[in-house]
Amino acid sequence: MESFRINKIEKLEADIEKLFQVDDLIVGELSFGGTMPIIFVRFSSLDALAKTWKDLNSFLAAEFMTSIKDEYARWNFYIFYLSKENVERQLKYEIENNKFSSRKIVIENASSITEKEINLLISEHITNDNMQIGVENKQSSKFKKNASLAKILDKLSLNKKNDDDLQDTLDSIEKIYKNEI
Amino acid sequence: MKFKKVEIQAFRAYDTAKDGTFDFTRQEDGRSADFISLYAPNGFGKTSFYDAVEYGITNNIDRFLRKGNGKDTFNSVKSERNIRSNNKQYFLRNNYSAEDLTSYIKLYKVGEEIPIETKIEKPKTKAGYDYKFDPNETINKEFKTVILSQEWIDAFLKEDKPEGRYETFIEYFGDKKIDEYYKKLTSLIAFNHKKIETLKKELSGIQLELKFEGDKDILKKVNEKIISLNKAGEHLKEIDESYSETDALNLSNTISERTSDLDFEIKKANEHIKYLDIFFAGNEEIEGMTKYFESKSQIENLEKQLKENNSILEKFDKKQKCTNEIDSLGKLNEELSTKKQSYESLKNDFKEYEKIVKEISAKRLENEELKKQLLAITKSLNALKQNESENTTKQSSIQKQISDLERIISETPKLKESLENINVKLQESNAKLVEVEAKITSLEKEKSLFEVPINNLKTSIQEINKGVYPSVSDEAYSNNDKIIDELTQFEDSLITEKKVLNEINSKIEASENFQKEVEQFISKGSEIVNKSQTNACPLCEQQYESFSFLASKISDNKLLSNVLSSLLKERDDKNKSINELNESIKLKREKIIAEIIKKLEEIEKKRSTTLDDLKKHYDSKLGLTKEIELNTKTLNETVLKLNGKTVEAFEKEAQSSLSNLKSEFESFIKKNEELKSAVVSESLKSENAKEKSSKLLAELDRLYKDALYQRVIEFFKVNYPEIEINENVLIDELTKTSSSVKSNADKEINLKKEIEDLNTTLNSFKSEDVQKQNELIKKTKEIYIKVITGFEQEVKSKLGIELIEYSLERFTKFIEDRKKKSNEEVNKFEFRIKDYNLLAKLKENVTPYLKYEKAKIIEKYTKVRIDFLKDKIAKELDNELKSVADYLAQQIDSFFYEKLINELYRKIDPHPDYKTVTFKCDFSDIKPKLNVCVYQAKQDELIIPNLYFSTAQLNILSLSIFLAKALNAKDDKGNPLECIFIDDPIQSMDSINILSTIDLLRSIVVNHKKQIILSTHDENFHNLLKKKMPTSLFNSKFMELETFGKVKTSNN
Repeated sequence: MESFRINKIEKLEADIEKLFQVDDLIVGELSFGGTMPIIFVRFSSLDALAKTWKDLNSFLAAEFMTSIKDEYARWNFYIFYLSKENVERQLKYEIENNKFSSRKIVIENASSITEKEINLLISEHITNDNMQIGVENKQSSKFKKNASLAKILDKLSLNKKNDDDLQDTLDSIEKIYKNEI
Repeated sequence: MKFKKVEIQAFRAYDTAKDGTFDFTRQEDGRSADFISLYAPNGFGKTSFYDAVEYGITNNIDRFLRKGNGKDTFNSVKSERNIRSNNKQYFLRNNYSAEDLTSYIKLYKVGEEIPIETKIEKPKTKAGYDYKFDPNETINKEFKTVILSQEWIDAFLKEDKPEGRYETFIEYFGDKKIDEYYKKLTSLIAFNHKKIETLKKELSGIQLELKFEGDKDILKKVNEKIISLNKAGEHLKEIDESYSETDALNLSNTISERTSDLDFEIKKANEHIKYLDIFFAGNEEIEGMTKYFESKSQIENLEKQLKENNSILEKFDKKQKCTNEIDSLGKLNEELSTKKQSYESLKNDFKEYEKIVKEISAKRLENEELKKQLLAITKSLNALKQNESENTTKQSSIQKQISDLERIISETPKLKESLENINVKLQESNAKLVEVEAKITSLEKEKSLFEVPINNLKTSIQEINKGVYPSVSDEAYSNNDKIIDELTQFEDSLITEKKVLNEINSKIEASENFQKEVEQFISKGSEIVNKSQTNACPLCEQQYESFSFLASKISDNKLLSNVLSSLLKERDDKNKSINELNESIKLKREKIIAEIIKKLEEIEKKRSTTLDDLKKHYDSKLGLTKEIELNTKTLNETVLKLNGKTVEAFEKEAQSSLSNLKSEFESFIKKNEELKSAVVSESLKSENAKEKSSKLLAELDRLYKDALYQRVIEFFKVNYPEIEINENVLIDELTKTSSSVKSNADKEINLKKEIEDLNTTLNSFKSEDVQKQNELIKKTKEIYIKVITGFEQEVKSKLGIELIEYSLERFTKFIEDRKKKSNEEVNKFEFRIKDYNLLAKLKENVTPYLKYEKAKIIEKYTKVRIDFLKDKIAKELDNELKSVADYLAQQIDSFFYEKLINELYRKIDPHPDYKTVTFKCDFSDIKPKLNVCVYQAKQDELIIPNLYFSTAQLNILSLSIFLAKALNAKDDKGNPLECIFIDDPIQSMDSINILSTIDLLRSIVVNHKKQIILSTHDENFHNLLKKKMPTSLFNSKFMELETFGKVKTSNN
């Protein structure tokens, strides 16, 4: 059983719940290099997401960020905006391109927030520890030229487009196969 | 393989190793960093650093070899060198490095002490290069896959057409040899196809030849005719199946040549027959043979007549000759009688002539004697005159000596007196000179005594100006002891004051620096306070009543500026007192110097008086010396005049010489008189001899002019110039003349008798008639000769025989035989021409028959060949092409780690719709294609990225391809290459991608233990990396290039 990777910050969680209408909310700290604050939030609807994400952002910047003393934590703050449905392209682009105080990632088709899912999102977007780099590639079989053909073709040069050279080559090949018959 | 240090010297942007050392060791813990970010503006040498690492490992730099296998770069470098006219000599080596600085790259690997060292040798000649531009120089090729440069992107992603992309991919990453093999195969297949088509066309042409309907026995018939002609003497080859078009042409030529030859032979024979007929019967131009033989007998008769006439003409000639001879004999006799008379007269005068000759000889002898006497007299007279003149000269010389000597004797008393005077003067002058010299010596001594005090005083003035003062114990300055003491005290005080001033200045400087830091500190504090609007001091955490109170408290911080102002005041006071001290020293120095100058002037005045006196004495010494020299010269001259003797001895000697000279003079006068009288007597003798001689000469002249004498001489000179005049000559001549007269009379009688005989014979002839007859005969003969030679020449030229050997009968037979033979030849040749014409007609049918036979064979062969090319060769080539294409496709598949690329691409997440990238090869056309496609997440829609992606998205795609390859890179032994070099990855990504890219790179370092060495021209990006991967939490290091080719030290 996989253990939960983040330590919860209960106070902030309570503050947010007081001010915003959220369906799901997890606030915690991930230890990777130093400590990184991470928030997973899901609003009740797409409409709520569109209307509220900026307010939540401002609140976090003003109330939460000013209280963080650790510089590494201040520069490594992640917010995951989760949604049950697909998010409209423009909105997704706007959220993910907002560079104020944190990196923001929109996760579509997320019906619930379980520990497993959270761990997966962290792996996928922050620690990248699920990435298999040592991919064994399809090993190409050794290629063997037709020896008789290769012997003749190696002498041919394509630099000069010359029918005489091609004729000579074809003659040599004919000779070999004639002898075989 | 990870690196802990890279040392670059005199390579591209880098000069000395001091500035070109990249030490990846962390100051914090001494570990070698796993993540290095190198920041530098463009142009500072980032790419040169990557070039150095690549060159150090692979012995080559791939980015210079991409186009045209390095030839393009080489050509650019070559033309750049031409343009810059050799100012830039090197390619790898830094052109501005000192000449003796070695170019090298040292790569220190983690866990190994000895670095990989690569030296770059200078080119051996000025025209050479330090880089080979040759891809074959590359070693450790695998290492190339861990260096990302911008060329990656341009390599193939930006190609528009899949054919072009395939070409570029193969050029950069593929197996060029196999690709070339593939191209050769496609060319050959196309050529084979073309060949088959050509053969098919040829086949349809051949089949036209098979429609033949002629006589198939034609060969036999033609050969029969040839055999028959050969029997008649022709030389023709028989025809078989190998008969070609050339043979046909040759046969045609032979037939027409031979027909024309035979035709000519017939004409020649007919011509011959025609001439035989003419010679036999004759025609308008040529007489016949009858006329020829007649002419020959006529000529014989004419020659006989001519001989008889010539004998009569000879007799007429002889008669004329005899008459002429008689006439000439008469004339001869007349001449002989005249000659006889003149000889007789000369013989009578000869006695008188001999007498005159004797007389002349006697007189001439006498005259010779007289001449000898006169010569002797003249000689003796000349000797006497010479003697006299010499005597007179000697006499006058002695007279001069006497008068000179007498003058010297008279001057002697004067000479004695002057000698005495000079000696007295010399003595006086020498005494004066001694006195003057003594005075000069004493004055020089006096002068040198003044020099020492003058020099001392001058030195003192210079030293006082420098602050060195004379001792008061010195007598010269004893009067100034008070001033000197004062000056010394002032100087000491000045040193002390300056020391204090320096201390104050250091304090001020320290205080100013501190002030600046505090000001910065305060402004930072106030910035923080203003930003946070707090009322707690961020520095001391003390609570103030309000935020504004705290802010004003901070900004009014004056503590430090008060300290500074008191220090500045102190400095001003010190400067003032130092100035006052300097002023006092200056005044005192001027006073003491003025006194010294006064003393100096007094001494110099005394010295100048002494110098004037000294000059006067030197002048009088010069005057005396000149006087002594003049007197000594005069004295020497006088002594020379006396020959070094005393005046008295000199006078005595002169008197004795004078009396000797006088007696010598007397003897010369006497001798002179004697000589004069001898001269007079000899002159008289000479006059007498001359008179006698002139008389004798007059006598001789008369004898020479005598008439008789002259006549005899003249006769002999004319008639006998070589014989001596002699009477016998005359007697002999007289005898000879008489005998000649008699013999002439006899001859005359004989001649007259002969004339009478000839007259009898010639009585019936006239000479003129006979001659006329002869002329007529000669003309007739010439006409006959013409006829004969004309005929003979014709016969010789036409029949080739000498007719002179032929009689009439023989020649007739000859002509008949010849005519018969020629007629036979004409018949034979005409028959042969007929045969040739027949052969020509027959042979025309041979070629079509033989072509038909050949076409049958070719048709069979071509059909077999087309089948072979189609069924065997084309199939073999197609099979081989297919296996090459399969192999190439596999190779391209294995190059792209498609799954990993997609994973990396998704993490950086550049494009909202398109999620899956795939690489597909297409070998179905002649030109292979490489398609790079991106699929949408949900639909099966496929797009080509470079048509729809932005540059940033293309960059991410290429970064993904690169990272996928670099993460899996292994060296030639199969060990993973743990390092990744990325040169400026963010050319135009937007910020969200930068954050995700940084997260990705960070996790590669942390999770996969790779070493990433990254460079950037963007300072924000560099600073962002510092925040995201601080050195306190990660094994990272941040470095900068502070200027062109120089690494900034301790900037971590």
